[in-house]
Amino acid sequence: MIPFAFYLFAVLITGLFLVAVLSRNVLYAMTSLAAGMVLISGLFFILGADFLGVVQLIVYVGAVMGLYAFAMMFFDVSREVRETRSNPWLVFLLGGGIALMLVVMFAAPIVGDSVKALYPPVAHTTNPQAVGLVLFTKYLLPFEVASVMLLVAMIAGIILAGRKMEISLSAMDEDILPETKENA
Amino acid sequence: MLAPISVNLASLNFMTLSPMLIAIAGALGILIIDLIKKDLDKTLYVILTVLILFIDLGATLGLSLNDRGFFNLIVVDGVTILSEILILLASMLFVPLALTSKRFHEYSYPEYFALFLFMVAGFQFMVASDNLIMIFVGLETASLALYTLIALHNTAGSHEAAIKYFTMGALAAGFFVMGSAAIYAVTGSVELYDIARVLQERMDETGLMVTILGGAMMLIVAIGFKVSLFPFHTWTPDVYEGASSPTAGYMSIVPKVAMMVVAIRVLGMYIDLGIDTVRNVVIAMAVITMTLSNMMALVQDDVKRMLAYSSISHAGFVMAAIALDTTKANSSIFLYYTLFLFTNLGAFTLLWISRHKDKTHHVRYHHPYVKFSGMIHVEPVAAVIMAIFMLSLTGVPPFSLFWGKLYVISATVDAGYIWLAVILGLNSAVAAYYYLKLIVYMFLMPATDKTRTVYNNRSLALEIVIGIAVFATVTSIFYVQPLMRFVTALISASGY
Repeated sequence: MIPFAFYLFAVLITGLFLVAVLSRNVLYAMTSLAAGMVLISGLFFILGADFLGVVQLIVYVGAVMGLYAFAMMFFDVSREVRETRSNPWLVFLLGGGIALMLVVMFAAPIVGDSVKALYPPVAHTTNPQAVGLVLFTKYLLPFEVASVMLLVAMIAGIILAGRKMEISLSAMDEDILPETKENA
Repeated sequence: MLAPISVNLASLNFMTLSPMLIAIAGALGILIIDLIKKDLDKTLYVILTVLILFIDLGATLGLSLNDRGFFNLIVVDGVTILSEILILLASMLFVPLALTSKRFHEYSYPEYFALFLFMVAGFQFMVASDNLIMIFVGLETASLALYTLIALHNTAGSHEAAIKYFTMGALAAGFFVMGSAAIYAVTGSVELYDIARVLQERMDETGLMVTILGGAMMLIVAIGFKVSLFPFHTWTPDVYEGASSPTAGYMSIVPKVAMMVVAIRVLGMYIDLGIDTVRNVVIAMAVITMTLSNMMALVQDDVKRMLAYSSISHAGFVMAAIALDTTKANSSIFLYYTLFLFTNLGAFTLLWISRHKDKTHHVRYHHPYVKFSGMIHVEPVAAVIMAIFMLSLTGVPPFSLFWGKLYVISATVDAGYIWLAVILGLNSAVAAYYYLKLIVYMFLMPATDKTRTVYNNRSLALEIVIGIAVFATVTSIFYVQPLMRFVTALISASGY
């Protein structure tokens, strides 16, 4: 059961990410990326890491949703998207398949109890506790450095998108003073 | 329910963390100063940044050797201390290049200096750990800040450079993570000493070799992108061309030193375990890198692009030493990069001084060879200084890089790779052609009317930086021996 589930998920994830890379339509690529992200959480559920599975769902699928918004901005909305395949049976089969897959994934921890971990977590802890234990002792430092990284990304984002970038002092002559009304 | 965990504060060994904390605190301080009072002059921030880096250097020198801290995540060994000194030294010489006489966009932001300090902290985390997660987080912090520093120059070229570097960097980060994951899958650990122990036990399991090698190759690809080895070097000339000269000069030294430290730790582990494929791949990449980039440098029209290819070729030169993995080879890497730091910094600073707002001599390039023609008749001192840097990059004695090349080649011979030593020597000879080309332009070509205004961006601060660089390049013969002894002592003290 477990190897089968693993290979099923693996093949589906690879397939979906291939679509994400190869598709010429941004919306298809985004959708298959989101679906692939959902299925990756299935792998976590099989391993009995339900906490990480849920984090995967919330963080990554959430991030893809954010990406969706950006993709929509690049997308020519006025153009009509015509589906080449409109067989209702296909829609039914795919939709039903996805629903079934979600059920299987959330049921996976039940099956997952029979897996023997090579490096078992600390005894008598639940999954979030085990993650917290490792994250806030051993890996406290990378956790904090990651927060510095996010701070850097935030500063970078703010100043690169700021109004001061609209005029380039590098290309402008000295004697021309830029208008200093903006406070960006 | 879980029993409460108590961690002894002394066991965390906060001292090992002090250099990075100083840099981060300094960066936050700069952001706060900007919040309190706007429109302060950039000189304040420059001096403040140099001061913080100086304190950081003091904290680094105060570290005790072969110490570990923070649940073994931070490692203070000879390699850490040496590379941190090198990074801080390069940064301290780089920051004053902001004090140009002309106005450039990036220096109008106080955040520029904060990001710069965050980047230094990121590099320090990267070199001070043998935990793959920690290395990755440090690398990404530093890279994100660096992409922004490039883009802040705010010209079309610098935007292009930042986007190219960002895309390539993201790809490299992906390779690094997947390689780490493959290693974790085999060994169940992300700490190099643990990985080495488990790999040692599992080496005979033939089925595993694919995974072990796969992980190693992905890490080599990630390292190759950041150090700019063939075939992952393609971004380098474009990014150097678009970035401002100081940033390009900085990129040719500090990120590469940091990634080479990772290479010494990671690839050194594989080579110590006797996995010869890794060594052969690295040697092959090193040889192709320096040969190919030397060929490419011959046909460049722009001095900055030529220096970009030259820095690729120097990186290949040093990668050959990493593949040897002897104490002498590892020491020669640090010697080489210390000497390279001063020479390259000086050359890029001279380009920075000759920077104009608009492209005066060429439709595309800021620093074509023709710009420097007949320089000796107009600015004899500047021409001679540039010639000294070029001769040093070629490896002409007694200028500094000659000693670096000498030690690398002698380490190669000692390790028994005579053919590699011959290739290193031949490549240095080929490289002489394109370095001398600039000297020919400066000394033998007639001066044009435009030559008089080439050094447009000069200021006292830049002249002092060049003075330091010239001094270090010319007097290297006096300090190479003690420097090499110092480096070797630190390297061998921690068993590399």
